[in-house]
Amino acid sequence: MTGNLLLDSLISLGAIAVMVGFVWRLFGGSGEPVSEGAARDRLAFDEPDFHPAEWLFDADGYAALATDGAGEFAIIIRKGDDLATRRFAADRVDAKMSAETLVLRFGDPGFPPVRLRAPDAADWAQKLRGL
Amino acid sequence: MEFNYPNIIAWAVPAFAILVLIEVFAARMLKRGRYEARDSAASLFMGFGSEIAPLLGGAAIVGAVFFAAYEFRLFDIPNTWWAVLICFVLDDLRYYWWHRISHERRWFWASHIVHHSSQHYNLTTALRQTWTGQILGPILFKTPRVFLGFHPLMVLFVGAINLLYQFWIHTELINRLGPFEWVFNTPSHHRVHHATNPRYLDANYAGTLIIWDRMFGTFTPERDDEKPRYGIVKNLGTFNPLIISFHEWIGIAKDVFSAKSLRDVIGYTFGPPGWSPDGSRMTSQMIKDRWRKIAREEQETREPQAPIAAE
Repeated sequence: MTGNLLLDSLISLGAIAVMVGFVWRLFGGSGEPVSEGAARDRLAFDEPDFHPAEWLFDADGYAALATDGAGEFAIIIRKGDDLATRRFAADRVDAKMSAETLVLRFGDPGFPPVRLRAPDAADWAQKLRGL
Repeated sequence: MEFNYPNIIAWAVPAFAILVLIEVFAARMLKRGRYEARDSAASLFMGFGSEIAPLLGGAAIVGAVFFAAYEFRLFDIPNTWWAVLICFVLDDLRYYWWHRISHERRWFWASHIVHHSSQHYNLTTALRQTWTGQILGPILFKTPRVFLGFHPLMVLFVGAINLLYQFWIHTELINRLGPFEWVFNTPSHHRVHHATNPRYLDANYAGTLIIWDRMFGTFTPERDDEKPRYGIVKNLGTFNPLIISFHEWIGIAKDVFSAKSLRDVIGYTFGPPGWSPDGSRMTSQMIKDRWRKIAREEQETREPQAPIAAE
């Protein structure tokens, strides 16, 4: 029984590897850097009543941060070939600077900490701290 | 004639793998449908885990409850093809309500959200199944038929048939299917169900027969002018299977520990997904209302109200 289960599991994992390898071969594995157009499109769909006034783009193309200029922010991150967003008020995020990198932690179990590397990241850290 | 129950899942798994490979190839060649390697890996690994998870004890508990209920059955329903057919139709009705409640109550959504967490819609999405929710759902929704007198193996068999049927509808390669769409759940109907467009939220809960949605008022057709965008209303920022599996449960636990009253505890646990005491989060009904309000405002901006004509 245990031996059969182990063998079945190994065969299943092998089949998964073949299928994922085939997808990788035909579709590739990494998405495009986050562009303003894609970020705006995703944000307009996820948060249609959020109107971005200013943007900060990560130099590595992983994320973009937007503010509506009235105390609300939205973060857009690359997730494979798509994007994921979160909208938040400044007091709902833990924002820290590390060199030229702004690190944001949301306390959301489904959303990882985000690192944005940009020359004016420090200005955004201050915005987020309400300074 | 006695009906025997073949192990259809064991037969189906190799067919699933072959059909996935065919769909990947066809999607690439026809430039229709999307695949992403990490998304597919996550979906397939979730499917693998969902087959292992019941072996940790859930299957034994459900089996024990089924056989106990069968001991006290109301009728002796024979093991025949017509009984299987009736049992299947009842199973499909059971699936509709279980599925609807899984979207409308956060406790059940915490398990079912796994299946919706992919932003892609392809055959691997069909296999993205939960590792939790293996006990309460089956006991609550399948035991009544056993108590009625359907044999537990028959109940499990028709449930497996229903799940198998739903594999092929997770595709963007198949368009509409004519009169078949009137009665059966199809790729088009199920694309709507997986969409997060406000127009499509909370619709098409059917398993095999779409008639239940038509009967209970939850049917929404797919529109040519509005392409479905898949996922959940707050998409995950990761492909990590542990996060996919447990993030909503962690969310419930965090909310319950921060709750200020018993009402809040109940609301966070059994209210609609997105419920919060102060209304600061959004349920799907609130998202639909926001969408209608924005659409109305846009229409008014485009077409200023005409002056009222003199009578």
